[in-house]
Amino acid sequence: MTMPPLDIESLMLASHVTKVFSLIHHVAYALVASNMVIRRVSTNFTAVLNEPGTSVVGQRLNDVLWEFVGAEESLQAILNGKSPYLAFERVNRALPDGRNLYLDLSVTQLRDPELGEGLLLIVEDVTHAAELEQRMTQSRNELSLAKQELLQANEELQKLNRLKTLFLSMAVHDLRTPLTAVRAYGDLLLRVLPADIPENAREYIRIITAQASRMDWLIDGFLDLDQIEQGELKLHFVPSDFNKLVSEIADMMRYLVERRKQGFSLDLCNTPISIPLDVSRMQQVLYNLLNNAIKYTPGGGHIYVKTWIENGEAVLQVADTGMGMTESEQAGVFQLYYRTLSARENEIRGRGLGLFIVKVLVEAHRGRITLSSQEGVGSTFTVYLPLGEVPVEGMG
Amino acid sequence: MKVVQRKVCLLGDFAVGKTSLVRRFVEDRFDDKYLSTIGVKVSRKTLQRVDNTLNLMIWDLVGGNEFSRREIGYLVGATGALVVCDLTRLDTLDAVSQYSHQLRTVNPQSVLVFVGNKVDLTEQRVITDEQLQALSDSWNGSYLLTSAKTGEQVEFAFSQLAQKIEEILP
Repeated sequence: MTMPPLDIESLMLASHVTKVFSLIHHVAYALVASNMVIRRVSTNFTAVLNEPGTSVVGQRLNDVLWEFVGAEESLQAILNGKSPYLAFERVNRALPDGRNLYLDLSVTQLRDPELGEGLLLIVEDVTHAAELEQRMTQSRNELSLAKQELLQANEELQKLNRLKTLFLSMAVHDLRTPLTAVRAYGDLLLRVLPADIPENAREYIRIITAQASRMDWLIDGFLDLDQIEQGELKLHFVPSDFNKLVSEIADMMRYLVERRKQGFSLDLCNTPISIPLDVSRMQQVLYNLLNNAIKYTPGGGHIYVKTWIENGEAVLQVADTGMGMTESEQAGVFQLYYRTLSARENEIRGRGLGLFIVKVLVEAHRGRITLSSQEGVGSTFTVYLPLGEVPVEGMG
Repeated sequence: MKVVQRKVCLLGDFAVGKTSLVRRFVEDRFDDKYLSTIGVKVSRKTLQRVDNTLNLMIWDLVGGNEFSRREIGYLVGATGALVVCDLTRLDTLDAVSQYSHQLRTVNPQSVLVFVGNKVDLTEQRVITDEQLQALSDSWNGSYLLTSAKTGEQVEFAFSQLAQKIEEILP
């Protein structure tokens, strides 16, 4: 059999293509003898390893590339033809400027009549692709860490919230006991006092009992807020006389109106309004609306309270000639902890709980609340409550 | 004096401080900035032992979801590992068992030293000594608390790993 003549031109071309390919892809190679000593390397080998000028021929593979320490058995398996290749991808090398060089290393068997037997090591600089991969991994890990931190913070907050609820229920219990005694003895005194005691003494006792009731509602407010936050607000509806309820609260607040030298008008619907209510919660609503009207109306101003029936709904209106609100303030006034700028500037006490609780409680009664206001003129809150059957008790 | 080379790995979930532990041990420095490792970085540290010079080839491997079949292949030839958890993140303790299992599957005789890192963050610590003790008992290993930031116990952790390796591969 005769060999065909060598096509030198084709061989030259192939050699040139290999060189260009190596340059473009930053690929270098080394021939390793079966005794694991490096026998020959491509001219760019140390440049790709970023160790230019070093001489690696004649050195053991392990000493040049530490990655192969411990891989002796795997390399032997390749030499023996028992394993096709060994690859280490994304091998990091620190560069003097702080960046990383990333290399892919692969080893295959070499069996060539001219080059002999051994291993072919191919080293490819994959820094560009690896840097993108690193950035993606970094972002994913940072996101994951941030998520874990948020979950942890959330757990801490829930723990604190449970503690707060526990503290609140203990505080409420401890406050309620003496308050109940104050109210009970106040009522008893009013009943047993002789008729000839000075009228102002009787009035003082009424104020004491009224203030004890106010404090009771303040406590209710805290409890309601806590139950709303926990999603555990439960209402107990009973058929109630709405006019009577409004009248009682108005009477109770009247002394505050007088103290602030404000005018007060109560205009109740002529016909009785019987609607299903959670009485203590509706007292809370009425107390908060009236208390706000009094607080935000200067001395000499006027408070109007009115009830009527309209389109199958009981309507309550609490209007004042107070400081009023801007449009943006009106938009935020039912939000939790919201306080208007003028309230803060005028140092009017409050924590931004009242109207939030009012809205939640009104809606828990299947009703709605509206507000119209004008800065410097006054505000009008209107509550609409459906007439009709007692709804099924449940969550607000 | 005889020179011995041993391959050891740093295993553990992402951001537990594997790279920082190696940097502290090999270069005696610490960088607060978190930089995710991809692939592998091999560092060398020479330890003078009584009978020989031991070159530890320390493989710092990627952790977390990126630890794949490719990385399992990197465990071949490893004689031991520091398996690291972050004392401030409980989930990193679960990952420790997975990594230990993977290493022991590839190298059944490999030495495991468990490391609870970031011990300097005392306020945020959530993993207890009892948990680490139970873990190391179940893998017939031992555990240490380290801080790559302060350097606490870092050298000792690697030294203990080297000593245990010498006991099984004299």
